[in-house]
Amino acid sequence: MTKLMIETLGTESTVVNMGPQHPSTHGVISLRLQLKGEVIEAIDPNVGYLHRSIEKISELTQYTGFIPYTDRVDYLSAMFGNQAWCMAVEKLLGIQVPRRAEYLRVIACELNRIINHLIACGTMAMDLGAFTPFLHGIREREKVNDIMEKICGARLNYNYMRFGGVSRDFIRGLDKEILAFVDRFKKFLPEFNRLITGNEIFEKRLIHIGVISPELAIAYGLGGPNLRASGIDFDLRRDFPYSVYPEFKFRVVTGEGYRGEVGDSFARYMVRIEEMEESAKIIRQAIEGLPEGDYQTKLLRNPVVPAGEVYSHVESTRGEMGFYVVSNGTDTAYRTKIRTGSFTAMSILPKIVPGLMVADLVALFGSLDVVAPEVDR
Amino acid sequence: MTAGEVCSTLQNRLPEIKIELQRGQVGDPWILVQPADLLTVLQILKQDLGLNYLACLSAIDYGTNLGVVYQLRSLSTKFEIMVKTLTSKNNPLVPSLTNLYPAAGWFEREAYDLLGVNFQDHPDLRRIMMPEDWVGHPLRKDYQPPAEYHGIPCDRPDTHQLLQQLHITQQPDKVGTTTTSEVGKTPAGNTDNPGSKSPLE
Amino acid sequence: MSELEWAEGIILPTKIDWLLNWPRRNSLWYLLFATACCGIELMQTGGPRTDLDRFGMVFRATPRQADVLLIAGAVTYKMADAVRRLYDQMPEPKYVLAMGSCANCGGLFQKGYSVVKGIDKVIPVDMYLPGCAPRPEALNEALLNIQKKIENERWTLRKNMDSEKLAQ
Repeated sequence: MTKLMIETLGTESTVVNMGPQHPSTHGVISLRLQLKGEVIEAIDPNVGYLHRSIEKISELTQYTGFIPYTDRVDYLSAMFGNQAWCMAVEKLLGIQVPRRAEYLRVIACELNRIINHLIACGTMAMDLGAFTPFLHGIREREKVNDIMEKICGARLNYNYMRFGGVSRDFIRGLDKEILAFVDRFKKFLPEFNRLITGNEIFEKRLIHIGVISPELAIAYGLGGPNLRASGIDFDLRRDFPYSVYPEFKFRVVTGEGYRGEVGDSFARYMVRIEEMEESAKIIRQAIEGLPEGDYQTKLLRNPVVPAGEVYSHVESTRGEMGFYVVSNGTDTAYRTKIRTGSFTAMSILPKIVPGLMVADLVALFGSLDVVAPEVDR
Repeated sequence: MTAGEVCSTLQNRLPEIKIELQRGQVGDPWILVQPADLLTVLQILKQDLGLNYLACLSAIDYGTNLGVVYQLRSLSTKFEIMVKTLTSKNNPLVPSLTNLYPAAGWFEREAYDLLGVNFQDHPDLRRIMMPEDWVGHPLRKDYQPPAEYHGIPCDRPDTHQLLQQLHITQQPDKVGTTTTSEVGKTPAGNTDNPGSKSPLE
Repeated sequence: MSELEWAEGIILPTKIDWLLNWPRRNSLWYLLFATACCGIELMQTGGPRTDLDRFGMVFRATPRQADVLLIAGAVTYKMADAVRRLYDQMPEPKYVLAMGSCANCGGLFQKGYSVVKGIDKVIPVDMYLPGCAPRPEALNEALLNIQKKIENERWTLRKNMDSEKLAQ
């Protein structure tokens, strides 16, 4: 009887739903997997569970009133959203940002890059089973949250930048506090690496997994650490310079020289770790060279923007964050399209995942650093 | 290299195709092509001018027609350009770029979902952001949200009022799609009597 | 509330209700369900500074093992079905905490077409926590308030309660 039952059991592939509530998908993303045993044959990402209609709201809210929404497009790198939107409207209005304001923007953005990469590396380690590095990262993040509170008043959705500068100046003593954090961070990063980066199990789970070749990375429009880990030396801060980045010396980190292959998950992880170090260098240079001056050009609270179109982009933590703004001569935008780095990173999944096992998918997904709000907006 | 030089190169290479360089009152210029010539033009841009990176693909509702805008970039020569094409609102059909730029796959799905643009030869054109049984294309200017969805009420007391205001004050026909400089146009800052603006000039 | 008196043999003069509620309120396990920005503040609250673990609250990945459903972040119409299913999967007694403006009333996405204007249109809510995003201390207080609510629950003598006692 038992032999007959086993013979009639089929061995076809099964469709399994991973998400939308899942501890390893970073946010509410649903992945439909077609599994044959443990090996994935096909994958279909089902996004849109966090589509909050931010682009439509930009057509119903005035330009200044839209700045808080740009925080929430990607709340882990809210400063970049602010900066991209403000740069777009400033280009349309034709106003200059004072040098001190540009320095303040750069300091805020690079601090944001550090704390974002801490969460990215921490949650990736947590997905692979290591809980402690995440808590260490959260501890450092709390220190930066205190600094952010002193900069702009909020811990998470900053709403810091305005057209023509930033909303308020640094309080007395804040630059020394930021320098103290950078010194502390310099000692923290080797400690973090000692915890997890050299670990044999961690490395074995990441090398040779999810290799993205340079041609594939360019074809699918990847950006940021994902693109650089595949060996392509491209960074918007250096190649399409904006703000005052040309005045700082920093290294653009690519994925060559690490254990494993160029373009695998370990390279992406290591690029993020090294980028944190480079951001700390930029912050130090910015604080030491902080000029005196205004923190915002005087502007109407509710500017009327002439008709035109512009595409402004910044090097955000996950890739390129671009705002394509179409204005029609009123104080409300006509159309805003927000282009984010995670959107293209998700679109490459159906190409590189088939053939991996489910546990490898978790590692790959963590290394691509995809967050749901950026994909869905 | 500037956008003007690119446009003249294209016009020399393809003299029988209508290619225009346009710009609004402020901001970046763009190259306008017809949907039927889109693939030819982009093939030249990708292979001869090295614009191999598609940064962004968006769709806009211009009131009477829909536009699709492409932001192309060359990573080696550090150059970027905007290309636009227009199609009618009743039967929007634009060729798909997935063979040239695989990045366009999901961007086009989003344009189809939110604005209703149909892309020819797209391998997998279905809704991406909204649920599969959602009715309508939300980012269109004349979109009316449903009263309820699967038993959950969708309405706010003033939803219809907000959308009325959007349709009138947004003046969809005035958004720059022409080559005129439009100097002397007084910007509309007040919405006291939005209905008094004439829709066409 | 009666005190615990440790005598020779164990004599525990207390109310049955208090005894039934005490272990339940001191080990509230919450479902790790973070939709949007409030989810990051939830993670920070579970972190080293405002440690939720010292109250006995650990996160569980599956709703079948969870007591509290913390709706942290905006919920869209596409997600609402899934939230309802998660709520139905949780075993009784269960509690729901709507964290942040988006879960309370739709938050700043009032003009949006795809955000549910308040999670109480989908599931019943026990505690509302305002903020955008609420600070970890505020989330801590909200969870402690749920603990107070559990403390006052009655399991025996249900029939003769009047509404005043229930409201405490």
